[in-house]
Amino acid sequence: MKIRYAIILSWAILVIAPLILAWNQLESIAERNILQTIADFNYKFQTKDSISFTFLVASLSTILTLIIGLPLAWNLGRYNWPHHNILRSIFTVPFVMPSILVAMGFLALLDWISIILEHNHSSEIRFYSLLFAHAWFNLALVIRFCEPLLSTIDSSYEEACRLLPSGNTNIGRLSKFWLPLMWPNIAASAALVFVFSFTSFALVKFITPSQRNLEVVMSNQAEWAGLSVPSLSRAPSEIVLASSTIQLITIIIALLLSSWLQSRSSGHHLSTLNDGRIPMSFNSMRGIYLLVMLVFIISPMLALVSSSFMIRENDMMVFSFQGWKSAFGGSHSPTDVSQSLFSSIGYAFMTILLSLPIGYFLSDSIYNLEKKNPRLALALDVLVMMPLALSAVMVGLGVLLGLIRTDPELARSWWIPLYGHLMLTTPFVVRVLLPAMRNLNPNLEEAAALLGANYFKRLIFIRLSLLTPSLIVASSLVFAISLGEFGASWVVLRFTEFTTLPVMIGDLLSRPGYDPILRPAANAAGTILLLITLVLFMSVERFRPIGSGGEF
Amino acid sequence: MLVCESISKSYENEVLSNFNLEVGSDEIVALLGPSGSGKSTLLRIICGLENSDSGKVFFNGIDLEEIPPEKRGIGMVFQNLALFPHLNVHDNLKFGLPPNSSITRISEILELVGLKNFGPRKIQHLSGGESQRVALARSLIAEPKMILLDEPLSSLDAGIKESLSLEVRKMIKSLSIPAIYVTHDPIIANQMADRIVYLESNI
Repeated sequence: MKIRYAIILSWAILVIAPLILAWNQLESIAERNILQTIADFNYKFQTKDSISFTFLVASLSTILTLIIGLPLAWNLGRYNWPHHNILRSIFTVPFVMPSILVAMGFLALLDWISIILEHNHSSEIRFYSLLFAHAWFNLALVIRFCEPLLSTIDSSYEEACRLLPSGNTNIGRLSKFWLPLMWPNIAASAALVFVFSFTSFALVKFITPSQRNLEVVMSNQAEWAGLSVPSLSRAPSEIVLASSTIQLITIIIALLLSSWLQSRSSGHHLSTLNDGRIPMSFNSMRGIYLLVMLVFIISPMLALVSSSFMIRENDMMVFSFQGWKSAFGGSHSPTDVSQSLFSSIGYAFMTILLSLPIGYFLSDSIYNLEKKNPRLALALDVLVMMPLALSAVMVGLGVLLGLIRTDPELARSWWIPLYGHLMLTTPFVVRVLLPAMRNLNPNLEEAAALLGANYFKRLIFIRLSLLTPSLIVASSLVFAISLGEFGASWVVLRFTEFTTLPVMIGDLLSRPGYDPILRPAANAAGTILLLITLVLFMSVERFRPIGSGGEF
Repeated sequence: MLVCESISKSYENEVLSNFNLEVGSDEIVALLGPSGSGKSTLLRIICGLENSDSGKVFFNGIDLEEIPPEKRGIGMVFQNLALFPHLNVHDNLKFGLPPNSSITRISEILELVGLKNFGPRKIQHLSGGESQRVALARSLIAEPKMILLDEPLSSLDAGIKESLSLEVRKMIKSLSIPAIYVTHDPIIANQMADRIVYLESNI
């Protein structure tokens, strides 16, 4: 019991302390309060139009994601396809893809399209590509929120609908049955898609380099913000203070909306344990649609891999291994692929070792409190999810500035990225373990207790044994997120010598001037990261039972 | 001998109010009553899975209040049987085997409940009646000083229910331990019990 409270307290300090210290540091350097900095925000040349751009991109991306995602969720949820689990894995893999890889995949796709059409892409094309990249990345959220309900709903409800006057047409059933049933799930997923598009960093930074959302604005100012050099750091501190505040308020509103909408979802009452899907083959219109969607999902990944073997020479793309040689030789980056990969894997393993037990105890605390004190459970849940309400760049900046405020030397420590990764991954562990704990039959542990098993025996042989599939899913999610984490690492690693693979890729893509090797080298490093993420995700997805989802 | 003294328990409504019960050292008592009358709650209080708001439970003269469920030596068969789905029949029984007991005890008890050679079977592959027997066997192998049965036959067909209830009674009687059997079926209560206690709904 005491350990549980110690962990809750440590988590609260871990999350809140650096942010308070960071805001305090920024305010003291800016010498202005938050409201004044927000009032001036749109008049500064570094930040002009960034608020409207952020809202526009997030809103349009959300609409596009729903347009693409809902028919896909319907087809995956209502029909049983050959190799269904593999299909489902492919359509949900984008969510665990490192965002920097998505950016590179879409850039490579744009390059191929411009070569085929012999026409250079305009800034408008880049803007639309950004929207499609967001839709590609967030498609899994719509599927995870809507598909489980569609796949497990008792078929007798739709059959009853068909026999009644209001439900005897497809449109009638859609408008009178499915939409009223599904709208909380749809709206909850839309709110989360909005959050992830609002806080998008790598995609905006690399796909639309001439435009800035709030996240890119913060990252651009990160070098000087909060440092004790007032002449250089006052303006950056003001900008980061204002952007982070606007971002935090918007995201908290969206997350609260998502949480409230999820609690209104009544569809689960209609679910059965049976698989209610109708068998379907690819030899149909629906099959053709699904194949088109498969091409949409796979093409950025294929473009990334193929571009790693190509180099631009006199406006022609030529097959070459130079990108791979440069990536492994480190000739165009501070470290080579193997060193960066070693650092990334090291950080990922250390993150698992820390976030899994912390996430377990936090989930266990919420689970126990739900029965005794639901309000306190909700408060703890919000506290656990708080890092998700912050963006990766904000977490990185918060950690960094908080540490600078405490001791500037700490900012050069090797474990700094670990702090950020821990904050960003632990909420996902809780989101995986908590629903799994709620699904455990409480009588099992009670029966074990009555058979004489003490706490540790019950924990190891009943609780953890039954949670093993969820623990594997959570570990792989932590590993994938940590391995591909870019925003926080990009901000904090500038002071250290420990470069992770995404940071190495970001460094290659951000080099000033034109060098034909840089993109193929970044694509080669990206291909390594892509393959690791794909293998990890595909091997773990089979542990996820039918009907699971809704969380992560 | 079990003594429940002035047990009260409330959730949103009062479920048990100053309830008293005595169960003799080898007596089988059936608790009969409608849903919501507090039958299952009483069993959970007796074995320590829940605390009463007031009142005491004594077993062989010892106040059980401070004793955790795993130390009370009271076995229970749950309504949903609570068989561990990740373990096979043998390992479910092994979980209940007291330390220093011979592993052969598992085969003996399986034979006793008529499930010889069922050890390697997965829980998911058992029928309703077989699952019920395994759940009973798992409780008995722990050598409890008392056994509580919370409507374990409720999901079975009437015919199987009647024949199985007689078998269960025979097995409990052969161990000479007290038992409380919760049911809302008067026929089963009559077959199983030496004495029937009726609880009225407080809702």
